[in-house]
Amino acid sequence: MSFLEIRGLTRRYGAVTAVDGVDFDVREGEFVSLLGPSGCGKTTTLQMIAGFAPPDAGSIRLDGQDLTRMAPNRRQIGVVFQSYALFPHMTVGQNIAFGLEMRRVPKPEREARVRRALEQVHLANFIDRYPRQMSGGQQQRVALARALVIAPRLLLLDEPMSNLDAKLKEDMQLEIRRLQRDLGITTILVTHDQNEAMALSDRVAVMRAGQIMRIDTPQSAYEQPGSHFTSIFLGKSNSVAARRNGAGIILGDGLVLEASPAAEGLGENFICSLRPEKLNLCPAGAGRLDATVKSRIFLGNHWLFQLESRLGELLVFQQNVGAAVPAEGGLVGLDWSAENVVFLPGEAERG
Amino acid sequence: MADTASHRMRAATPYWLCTPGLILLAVLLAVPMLMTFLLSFNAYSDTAGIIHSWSLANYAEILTDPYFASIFLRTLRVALVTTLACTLIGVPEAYIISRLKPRWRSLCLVVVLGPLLVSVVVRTLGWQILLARTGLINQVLVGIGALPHPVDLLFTETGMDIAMTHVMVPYMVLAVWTSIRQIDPRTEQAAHSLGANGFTTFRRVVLPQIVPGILSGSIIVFSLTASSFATPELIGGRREKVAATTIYDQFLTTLNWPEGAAIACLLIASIMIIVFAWNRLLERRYAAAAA
Amino acid sequence: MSRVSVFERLFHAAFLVFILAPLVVVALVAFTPAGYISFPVHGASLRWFYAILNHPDFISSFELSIELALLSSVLATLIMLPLALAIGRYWFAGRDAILSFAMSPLTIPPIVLGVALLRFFALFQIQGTFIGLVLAHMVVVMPYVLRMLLAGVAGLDRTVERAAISLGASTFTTFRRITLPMLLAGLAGGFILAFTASFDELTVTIFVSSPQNTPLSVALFNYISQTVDPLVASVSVIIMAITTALLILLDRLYGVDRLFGGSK
Repeated sequence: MSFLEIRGLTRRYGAVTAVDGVDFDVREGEFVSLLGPSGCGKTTTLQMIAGFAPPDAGSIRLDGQDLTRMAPNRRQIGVVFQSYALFPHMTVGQNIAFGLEMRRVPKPEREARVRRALEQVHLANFIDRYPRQMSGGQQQRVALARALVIAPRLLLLDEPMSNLDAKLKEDMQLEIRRLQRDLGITTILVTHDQNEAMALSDRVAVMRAGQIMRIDTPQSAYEQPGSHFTSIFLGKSNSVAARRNGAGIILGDGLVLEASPAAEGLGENFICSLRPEKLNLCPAGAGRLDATVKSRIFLGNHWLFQLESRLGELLVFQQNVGAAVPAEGGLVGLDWSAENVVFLPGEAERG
Repeated sequence: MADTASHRMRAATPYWLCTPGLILLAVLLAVPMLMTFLLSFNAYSDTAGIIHSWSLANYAEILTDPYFASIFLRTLRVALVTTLACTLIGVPEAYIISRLKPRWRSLCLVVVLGPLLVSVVVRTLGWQILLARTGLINQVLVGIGALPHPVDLLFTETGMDIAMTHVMVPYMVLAVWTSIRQIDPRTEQAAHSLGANGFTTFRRVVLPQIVPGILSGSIIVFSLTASSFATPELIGGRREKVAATTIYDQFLTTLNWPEGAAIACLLIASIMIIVFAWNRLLERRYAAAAA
Repeated sequence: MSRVSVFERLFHAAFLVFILAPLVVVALVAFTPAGYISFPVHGASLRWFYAILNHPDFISSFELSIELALLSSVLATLIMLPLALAIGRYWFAGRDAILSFAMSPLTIPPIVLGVALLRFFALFQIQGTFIGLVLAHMVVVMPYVLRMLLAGVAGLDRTVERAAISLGASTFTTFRRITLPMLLAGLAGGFILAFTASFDELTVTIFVSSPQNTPLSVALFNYISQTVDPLVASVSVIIMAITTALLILLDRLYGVDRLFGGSK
């Protein structure tokens, strides 16, 4: 039995089904991200686990205990909110001590644990400050300390870093990962930032329209997305229409591809996904097909090429190794190795 | 399921929370108002007190007697003059305040709006002193030669207008200032960049945008003035009676409560009618701009 | 915004003089050494302040006004708090109607409210009693309290309450330790505004007071109606001083700028 078991979790708002029969398990000490665009149901799922929204169907079991209908203040779950939600009329120390007060922890032990929690987030000197006297990043660390000090069984993070600027965000991400590893707390992060999800998580759950499309380690989910949506949500992808032709496969307007066991069971029409970093540029005529460079963008450690080809528009990443690169308007050849081709089910709607 | 029961309980929560307040209001507001309305249909005699008969006699008397007509007319006149005066001086003042530096602005707001928190009796006393024959206004006007001899301002309608304007103008300034604050200051800057001077900017750009504020301010001033008691009583006195002071006499001196109640009902009705008509008139004219 | 012209400054100065004139005049007359009201005032004396001490009726009226204001403000705040929470946080059928109803005392002319309450109290023979006065003032100050409380409730961050719950606080504890303290500014502001409104209230009070229970505003009004001597000026100055003190207190606890919708 897993540490956290979610089965058939459902939540409706009138005619809209925000969360549609979600199932997943989380092992003890694991860091899982719920990743998806706004409206996919990730926040609602989190709210149900925390107890702020009652599920219409399904169950939540934590460490063997049924949490589904339990009051939120008895679940022993730590929550860090997007807006931090610090108590404005209390000092940092009082904020962090609050959860311990609710558990009737005696004063000396309380003070010791508060001090330790503040040291963990490197804010030991701020114990008597008020939230309004602190920056966003500092407030976020206080919110984290407040949730961790109660030694929760589960830590829920609701897009806590979306209000921070880029540099601060990176620092906080590393900080959170380090703390989580050190304390071994089972953690669920809700985010729309795929880089954040892949960087921090042991496993990523990609959500769409109330359902989990794919839950796996970041690398597996990236390399084997399993659906068109996931392939374009996690990273960039070139999606080309493909159809079966006898034993072979035809791409686009007629480019022939060798048969692949990965394309079995996908029906007559499906999608071929090629990651931009897996496409190689070569001299025109030397690859599988030719393309014209529509535009190229220099991004420091790599180049991004937009190519126009018989398969439509294609994106290619090329690492910056200092060599000369094709100019805009130039003709190039494209190649890739067979094992880097991913086949995905065709969908009625193409995004 | 347990869920629906607790859901029902949660849905009823707001109603429970409102209950004490609603009971208080029903008992201390709705019921007395209703009783007063009904009272206006009763009769009165000096010997028997209030007679619980039902008739429109009170209303008939008030609507036909020229004495009451003059009272209502005076009430209306004072209210209109006061509203006009408040608009003429309140609107420019609000505009000026909105353009002061923040520190001065806060100070001026406190000075202009502060008197609202001072008892109206104190303010009216000040006017009693100023408007007297030997008061400051007369002294100044005679002193600079504007008047040949002191003039009666106390116990006149003019005196009432002046005092009421003073009492009411803070409301107008407040209403207009709230409206000004919602204007995008860049519209004024755009006007200046296109060559408009201060006055033209005010007239063509600011004024049309603050009409809602002027409207709401004038409604507040009109209704408050028409129903005002303390200032007309102390400045108008026996000679210049208005509706509110007449109601006072009926209830506490003559003791003809039914007739007093009838005057009160007519007062409310006429204020509501005028305010409603005024609202519709301006709404129609400025509906496009307001939207 | 454009700079203020000289002409506008003159107008503005004249306006301020107009606003302050009556209050300044009263304040000056209060210090007159003469035995009657005259303006301008020549010299200064505290005789009319000491004279107040010879009028025990003014002193007892003052005490009554303070008690009345305290009691009616506290009761009005207690009754309006749950209503403000209901209106500010829930969507329910009749919400707008209830809100309009609760604010309606502001739209009823005080003269009409006064006679209506007199009529109502007469039914129970409580006209002129202290209870009658408290009930009447509660109705009058309720909208002021409600408005302040609604502003406070609207500004509450619900996620902060959720944070408290997630840390183990029960509904009641959350209300007591988190919600109420965050509402403090609104509560204090509402209370002080209500106190001031009650202290100054005249028209309604005239009808529900009696010779045995005469609040200060009514006592002053009656006195002015009959006599005109500087005593009324000195009593007025005391009233103005108290009002100013309340205003300063309101600014400290809540911010007068916020009250009038201003921005710093």
